[in-house]
Amino acid sequence: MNIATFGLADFVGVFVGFVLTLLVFSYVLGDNALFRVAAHIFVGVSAGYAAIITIYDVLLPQLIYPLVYGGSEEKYLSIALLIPSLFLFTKVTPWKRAGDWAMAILVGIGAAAAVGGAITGTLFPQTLGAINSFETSTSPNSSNIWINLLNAGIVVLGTISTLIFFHFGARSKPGHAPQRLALIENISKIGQLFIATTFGVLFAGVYLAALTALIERVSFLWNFIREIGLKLLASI
Amino acid sequence: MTKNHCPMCGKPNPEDSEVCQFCEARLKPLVASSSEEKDSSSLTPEQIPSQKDSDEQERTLPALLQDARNETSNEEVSPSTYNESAEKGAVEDWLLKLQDNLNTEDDAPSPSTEEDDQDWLQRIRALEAKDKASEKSPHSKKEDLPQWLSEIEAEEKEPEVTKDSLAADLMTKEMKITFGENAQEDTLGQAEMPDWLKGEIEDDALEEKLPDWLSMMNAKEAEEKEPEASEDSLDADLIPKEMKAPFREDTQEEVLGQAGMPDWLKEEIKDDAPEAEQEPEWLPSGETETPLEKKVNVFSQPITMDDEMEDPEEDIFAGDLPKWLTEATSEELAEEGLSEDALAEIMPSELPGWVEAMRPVKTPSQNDLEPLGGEEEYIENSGPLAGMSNILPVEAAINKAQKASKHPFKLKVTKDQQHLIALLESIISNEKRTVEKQTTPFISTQRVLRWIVGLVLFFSIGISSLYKGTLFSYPLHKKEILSLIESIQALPKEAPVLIAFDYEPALSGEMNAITASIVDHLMLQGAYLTIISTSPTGPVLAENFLSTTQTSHYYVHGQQYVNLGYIPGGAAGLLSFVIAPQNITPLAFNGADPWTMQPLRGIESISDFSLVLVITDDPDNARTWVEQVQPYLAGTPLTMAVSAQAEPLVRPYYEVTPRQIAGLVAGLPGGVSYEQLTGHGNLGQEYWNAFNIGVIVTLLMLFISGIVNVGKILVSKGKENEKKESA
Repeated sequence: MNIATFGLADFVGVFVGFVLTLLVFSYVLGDNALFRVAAHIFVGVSAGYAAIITIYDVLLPQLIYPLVYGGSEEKYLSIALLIPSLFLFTKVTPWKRAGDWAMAILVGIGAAAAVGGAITGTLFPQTLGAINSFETSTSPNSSNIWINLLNAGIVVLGTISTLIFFHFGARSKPGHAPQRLALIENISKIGQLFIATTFGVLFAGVYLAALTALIERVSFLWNFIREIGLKLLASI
Repeated sequence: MTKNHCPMCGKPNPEDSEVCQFCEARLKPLVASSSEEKDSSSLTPEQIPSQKDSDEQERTLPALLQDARNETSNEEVSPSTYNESAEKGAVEDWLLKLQDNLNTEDDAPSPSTEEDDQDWLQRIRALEAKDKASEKSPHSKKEDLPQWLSEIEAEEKEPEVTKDSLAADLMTKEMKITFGENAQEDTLGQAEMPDWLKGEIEDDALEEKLPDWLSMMNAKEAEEKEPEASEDSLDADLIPKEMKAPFREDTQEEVLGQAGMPDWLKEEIKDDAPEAEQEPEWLPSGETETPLEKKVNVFSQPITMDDEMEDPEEDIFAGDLPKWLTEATSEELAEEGLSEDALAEIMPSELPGWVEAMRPVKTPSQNDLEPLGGEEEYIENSGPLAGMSNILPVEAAINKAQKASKHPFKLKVTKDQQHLIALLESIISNEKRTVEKQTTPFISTQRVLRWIVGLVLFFSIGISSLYKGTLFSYPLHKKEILSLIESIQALPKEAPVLIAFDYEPALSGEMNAITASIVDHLMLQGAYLTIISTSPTGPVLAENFLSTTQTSHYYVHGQQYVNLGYIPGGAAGLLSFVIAPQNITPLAFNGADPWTMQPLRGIESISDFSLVLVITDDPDNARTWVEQVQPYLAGTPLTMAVSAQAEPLVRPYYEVTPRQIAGLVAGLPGGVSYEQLTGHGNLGQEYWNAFNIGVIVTLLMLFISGIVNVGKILVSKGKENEKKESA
């Protein structure tokens, strides 16, 4: 933060950021109006900015401009896109069902892309990777074979035990509560251990990310005070 | 003493009783029957049938029919004329036979007594009696038969074609009705035939086929009818044209004779029917159409007037007999000396009481149902409950909704199910319960603990940020970071690189610290940067990132880098961008055409980029890029700089064999390691001390809080043990 390079807009932006950061930090004292004001401002600005971006970065260049200034092919394509777009507007009118077919196209295409990508981009490659992890020649750490095999065994055990944990099929006996097989029950406990470890790692990652963000904000506050606040006090 | 039988149970009751002694059914209807109401007009066995004036019934006819009937009556011969004609004798004959047959018929009462005095019933019976008489002695009573009936009989008996039978065959029954007496007389009988018609008929070849007896009878009748025919022909001249219309002028002309017709009318007729004068081809030569055949052809033509008559027999008796016939019937019956007793026998007797009681007395109307909800007392007036008051009508019972019958069932619930039911009820009841917000004091244990944690973190991080030295050693070099560095080092100068800024503003502090050294490294390599984002806030975050962390490189938009902006549609939009990037992002974030700028020259697909770097804080975004983009890169390395919270889910894509991502930098430690490896310190090393201090403080707080909790548990257990020992 170099105040010498700041213009008026930069100064206003930094000042607003400083105030809003303090308002958010006021949550340490408990839920209060200052924190709620800052939260509402963030939500409103985010929604408004997203709307502006959608209009100027999506609708105008990809739908309106081709329809007005484009060639014949671009106009036909824009009309073909404009029709379902107009039907989507009916979702906020009493004729909601008129936009179902356009929504169905969107959802269907999105689901097809997501499912297809998940199968070809995650499921098959990861399964193949789990198999190849036992191939020592292709392992990254080919120097230590046993460690590689141990690592591959842990990965396979964790994968299988986690999948078995989510197997809820059970046999019912008269007079007894439904219970899973003993083998599945024991393996599922191992899977439960892997799941708990994974959640712990995820929570640690979230905390570290939040800690880094806190560090950045504290650093921002300190720099603002040091670069602007102290100089303002010195000038006074 | 006669007994009245109950209509319901059939048991005898005294004649004067109104209610059955056995079943209490009403013996006599409350409302007078129509026969009683019409006692003045109805006939009893003791009464003599009176003459029925058909004019009264004719008044009820529509005006159109009345006009038509008046026209017909004008054409009719007056009753006096008929008294003088031989036709009258024929009518008298068959009416007398009708009476005779009726007298000889069974004396059983007719099922209907209301319409006994109506003319149509008399006509039905007369015709039935006539048919029976003709069947019994067709030849012996030939002289007594009417003229037209004799001809029909002759037609049935003799298949030979005669002029009359031919006319009767071709003439429809409706036409007979339509033309009434005139038509029948003109077509079936030759009595009224004019001379000219007789002459033509005599000349006809068909005349030769007539039997002798019929020829003689026709000749005799012709002599008797001769004066009438002259009158008819005279009348035809007097009949206006409008009155002839329903009967076809040509028909009347032939019937009445063309002698009485004016010349202009004859010419019109000839013009109107030229085809009738032409001989058809199928007709054998020498057989010319006789006037009689012309007449038959005319009759065979459809007449719209009779189209609505569905049942000819019904229509015959639906109308009234003409006035002359009615008068002749009554008068001549009296002249024939028929006694009143004989006439009375013809009339049906009264219905028995039980039949009368079963007859519908009165059609229930809406007024009969209204007292149901009103104050008036409702009295049943028909059926077995006739006479009883306060009876609900059937209609009301039908309209009333019936209540479903109850089926007893017993639900078997086990104890476990009852326990679950009680648990569910308690959960639902708790959901509806409004919990009052507890007003905790401003200074509470939990709130003080929160202040302490906040202050410790804030001051520890703040103080550590002031220190610019190295308090903690830098992290170890990881292979995924080295892979990314090698990929960037391998880029040629001005190589196109695609960077995706897919993170949220909340984590921009972490992401900027991680990515600053990587982007700095790319700029040092002189790469052209193309920025894209699947998040609406991504483009502006990228601009902020470049303006705050990469100011030393002086990258200018459009020259060294291009911000393509936002790609909508999630995975589908990203896939579309991979396939056709120019169609998905035709304009840059600033509105310019990016595909003519230097960084994007020669870029047709995503595989034309030299490197793809994804900066994201969301593991789902990272997975989407791997799934949708990586298969289309065709050798272009896909690298990632992710947040610490996304690392556990993104790392498998790097650890897998073969690798799906070429390099990975995760979290602040990864950024610091990258800075150390590249030798260009940035935000990572600036935050590194504070980061380590914050982690240490966090661990300390967790450890201390754990010790406190364990101490509290031990203290509580010690107190419980002391209580037990003391107890």
